[in-house]
Amino acid sequence: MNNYKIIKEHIDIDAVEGGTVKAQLELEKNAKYLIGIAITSDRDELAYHRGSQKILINDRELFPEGYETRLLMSGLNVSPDDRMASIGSIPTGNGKLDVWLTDSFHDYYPFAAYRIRVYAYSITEEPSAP
Amino acid sequence: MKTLVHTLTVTQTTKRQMFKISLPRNAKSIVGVMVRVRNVEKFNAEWRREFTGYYSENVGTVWMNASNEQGCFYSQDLNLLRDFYNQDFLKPINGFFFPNGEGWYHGKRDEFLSIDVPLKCHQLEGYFEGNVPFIFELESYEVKIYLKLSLS
Repeated sequence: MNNYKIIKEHIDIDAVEGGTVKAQLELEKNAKYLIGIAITSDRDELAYHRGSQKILINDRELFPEGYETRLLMSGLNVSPDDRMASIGSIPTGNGKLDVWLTDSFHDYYPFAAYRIRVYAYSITEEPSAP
Repeated sequence: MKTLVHTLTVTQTTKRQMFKISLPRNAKSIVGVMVRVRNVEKFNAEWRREFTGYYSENVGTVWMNASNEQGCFYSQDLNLLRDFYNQDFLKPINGFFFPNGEGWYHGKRDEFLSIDVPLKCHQLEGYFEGNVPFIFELESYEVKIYLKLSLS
């Protein structure tokens, strides 16, 4: 049985029209392995259609530039247990999660101020095999 | 494992657009593909409103080749997703949450198609052939190609 602790942290990023914004989340020092990412927004439809992001952990690329925000979002019709995008268990190293949020033009969804919230789920110990 | 994203910007006058994607030197095989179009929601909405049964739902066709020896490894007709579901029949309940509008939700989850294409060269080539009718006056739209690569 695993007796590690799951640490949930988040960072908010405000989108800039047609531009890219960088933010950095410093993970808690006890967080040893990053296991998942999830994204929510205060304007779901804008983040869904306009947003894309690049995510790096400890200079290791998790999601490349242009990776759409919609692929990491989930709605009410998804069970809470399934809302995190699993990424295996990646050592957190120096514990810095870098996120670049890019807003892209969309014909049908004009820009209005929106922010995304990036959740990082980490564990304190390496998960043991079942 | 590495994910790669390639974006093609397609104008409505484009008939066929060739593209080349450079892959990392240490890429061993392609293990997942997903192609989707962005910024065609206007087309989608107009289509829903002005359905005549005449226009095609097809946005275009994408075709990809990993090396000359293998031939085409991926080809797909990109169709508009009818992934908007109207929840207005629940108005008595969700009117509380959506007092000024209609309730819709997206019901399609984008997923990678699992494949296994060993790479003999580190360049991928292909084309996209657009098919959006002129009546919808889309200036441009994007085709996004997501590749999941296994690295050595």
